[in-house]
Amino acid sequence: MKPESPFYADSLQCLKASSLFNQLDTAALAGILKRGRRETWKHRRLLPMEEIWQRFHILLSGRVRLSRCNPESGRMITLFLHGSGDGFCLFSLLDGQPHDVMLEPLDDVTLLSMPMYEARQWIEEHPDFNRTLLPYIGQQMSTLANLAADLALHDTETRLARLILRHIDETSSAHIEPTLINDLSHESLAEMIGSVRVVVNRQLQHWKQEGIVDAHRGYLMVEKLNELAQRAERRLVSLPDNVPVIPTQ
Amino acid sequence: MSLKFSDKDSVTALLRCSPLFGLLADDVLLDMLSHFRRETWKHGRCIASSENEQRFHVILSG
Repeated sequence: MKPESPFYADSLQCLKASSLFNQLDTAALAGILKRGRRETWKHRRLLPMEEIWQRFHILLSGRVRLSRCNPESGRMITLFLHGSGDGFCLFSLLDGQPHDVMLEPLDDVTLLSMPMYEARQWIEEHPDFNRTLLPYIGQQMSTLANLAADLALHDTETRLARLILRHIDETSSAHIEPTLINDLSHESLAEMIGSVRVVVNRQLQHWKQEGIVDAHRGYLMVEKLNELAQRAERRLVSLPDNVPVIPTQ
Repeated sequence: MSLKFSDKDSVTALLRCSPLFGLLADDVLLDMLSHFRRETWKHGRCIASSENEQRFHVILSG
């Protein structure tokens, strides 16, 4: 992208707001923009992986989910849900290999993309970036570990509660709107916890009756955070140590 | 107590065969080893993550 581009200033602003890139100085960010090209992907567009994995992508706006699907059963599991400022195709950036994932924009999205070899070259030229990149990769690995553990160890109610808690600021007061997942369909939520639409719908209705959440089509608000934390079988960061969190039966 | 990998040479030889450390130069490997301590963990020992997460570990055997 050239500095004369009408999208340059907005793209630079987005990078500065990204937790992955906000430690970089303007010259380093300009290097990313120079190597990158701006792309727009339409909501629900099918993306050919053989082309996608050869480029590193930075989301400027909108959401993209990375998932796997069983073609025989049609069941799907969402591995990552990325939002503005996130970088993806990270595993291919690291190992240079294609990975068996489906990419789907959940909105009309804008991105920066650059060939993997250029992304690696840029990282070699900016070794300080690893101080941010490595913890970011660690978070991604932790996300996968949490998903695997939740799928193997917890029931649907616990998994759904944990999913919502991971997308909210736990230090906030009541009436909290989760980020990224707040307007997803019940089917999409189900695909994030290895369940199905009817089960997620029934659980949300149940919590709604208990006043824990307010949920209807494309809308999700947490009304009782501590109650939701109990359903997640975990302690909120804001709770003192002597407040027990009692697992539900 | 097992004496396997109790000397620097055998540890260095093992790390040279490791996909993670095998490309490091000898002086880098030796410098890295100077920051490590050798531990043995008994079979079946349960190790809390709180005890573990402050240290980086490389498995020599087991």
